[in-house]
Amino acid sequence: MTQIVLSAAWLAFLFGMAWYVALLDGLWAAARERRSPRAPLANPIYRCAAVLRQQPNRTEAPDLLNWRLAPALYAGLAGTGVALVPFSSVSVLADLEVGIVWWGAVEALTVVVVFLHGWSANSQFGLIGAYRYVAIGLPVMLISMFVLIAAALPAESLALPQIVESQRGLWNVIRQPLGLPLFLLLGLSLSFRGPFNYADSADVAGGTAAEVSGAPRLVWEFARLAMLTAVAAMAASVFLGGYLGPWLPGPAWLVLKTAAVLLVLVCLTEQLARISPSRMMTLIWTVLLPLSFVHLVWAGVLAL
Amino acid sequence: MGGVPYGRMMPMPPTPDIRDGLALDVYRTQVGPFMPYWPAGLILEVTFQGDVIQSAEVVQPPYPPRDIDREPFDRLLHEQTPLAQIERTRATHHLVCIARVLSLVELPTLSRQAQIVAARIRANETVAIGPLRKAAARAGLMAAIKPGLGRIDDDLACELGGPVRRAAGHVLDSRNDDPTYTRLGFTPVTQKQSDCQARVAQWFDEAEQALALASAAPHILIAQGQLAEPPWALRAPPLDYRVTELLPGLEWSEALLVLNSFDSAALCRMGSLETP
Repeated sequence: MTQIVLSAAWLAFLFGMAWYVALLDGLWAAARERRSPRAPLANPIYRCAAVLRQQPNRTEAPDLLNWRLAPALYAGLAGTGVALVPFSSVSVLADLEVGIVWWGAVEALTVVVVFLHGWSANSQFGLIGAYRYVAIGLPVMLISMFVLIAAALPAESLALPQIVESQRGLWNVIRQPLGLPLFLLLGLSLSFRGPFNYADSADVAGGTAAEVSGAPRLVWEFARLAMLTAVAAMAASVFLGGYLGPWLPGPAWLVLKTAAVLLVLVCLTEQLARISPSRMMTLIWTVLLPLSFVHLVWAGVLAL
Repeated sequence: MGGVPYGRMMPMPPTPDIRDGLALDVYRTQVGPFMPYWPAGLILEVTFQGDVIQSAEVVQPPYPPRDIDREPFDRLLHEQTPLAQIERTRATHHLVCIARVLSLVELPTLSRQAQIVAARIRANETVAIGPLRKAAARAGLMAAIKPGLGRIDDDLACELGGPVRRAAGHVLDSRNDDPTYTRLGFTPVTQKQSDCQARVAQWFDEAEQALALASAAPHILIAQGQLAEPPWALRAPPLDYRVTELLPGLEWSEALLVLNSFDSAALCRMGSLETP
């Protein structure tokens, strides 16, 4: 019974937060254009219906199996990430001793799945988007691993519930101030948004999704929002104390903290221009990656 | 290319990548004639290594700029035209160009805002460009464009004329010789670097200046037959210099930024076939 309730909560969380991000995107665009938003609450639903009504597209000689599977796998990876997050001290859908390692696998497989999506369409812009995503996604994943290992040190455990419990006295965002900002970059990279949109950007006519329409397109767009949700929920748990907090029940705190992180991620998406892939690579390898290593050493010294 | 490549092998490059020496699969593909942020009609045969352009060749030149865009500059040849209308058209043209660049650096909402401002200027509404420019600066528009990207030499800038020439630092503007503009204290704005950053900055500066002129002289008419500086490059026969010479060694995103830092008239002159 508990597993059924948890599964329902997991589904509601994934879809609810994806809808919330779509809502925020719509509100931001309306504010920027100085107009009142049009049916803001229902607009994400209308957009889903509009995408579903599109004529399905088919390229010449695609790798059809991988092309069709990639959106579903991407959504599945996002769902796996959310399943690791504890809603309370006793409510976690996938209670693994090595939750952080599992999350690392989610990140690595996301790079594979996004590449497959771009490669298998047999389209030049999909392939360029895929190449660029791998080049940026791999080093960002390394940053994330350093940051997450640093967060696991005070807990002396790789399990997410233990990492949350280790923050009863002090949240990791205070103890390890560089961790959350570095981890948020991963969120933008894994869902290729704003300054980290190298896979599906305007300059490659939509990139890995350039040739995708109809239901596969809807799944792909949902998966991007779901992956952003997974990163936000993970950030809320690892750095902001997850379900911990006074007065409200644990799940409510997790939802609130995840929503706050998502708001920051949407702001970053809309507020930062994207630099060229080679300059981003230089920034990651020469500045952000060393910074994350310093962060890990700092966390290690504190944990001694 | 991905997918099922008809049984053909992926050829490895005969030479290292021209940028960093990293060998990746070489593939040739045609790009164009229609895609977002691409000069309409242009078809290039491009050789890629990863996302870096190794070489490019014009297969079909871009379409010439639309005649409708030449209003009210063509009308001025036959009848008196309000200065404000000329300058509003200039601001609109530049904002549409800026909107394309904003989209290319993944600032779609700012791009949409630029388009809305352009539409409002076209509808004779009073709008300021300052807030848009500040928002773009805060978002890092200029930082997103690598300094020196798409730099052209002085000779080419002078040949192309218009904002491209002024972005190279040349104070050449036919409005300088117009007594109406002189009375309004007009002085051409210029940049120095003659690269993408400079051309985008030039569009912003000229658009702001155009709106200031339009609001300073809302009812002044320019006599027919006067030569008014248009907001685009000189419309003249194709040049020997080709746009494809700018692209090798650039990543695809940089290449599109370079292409979109020129107006359609300039691209048309640089996008001719080998034997114009």
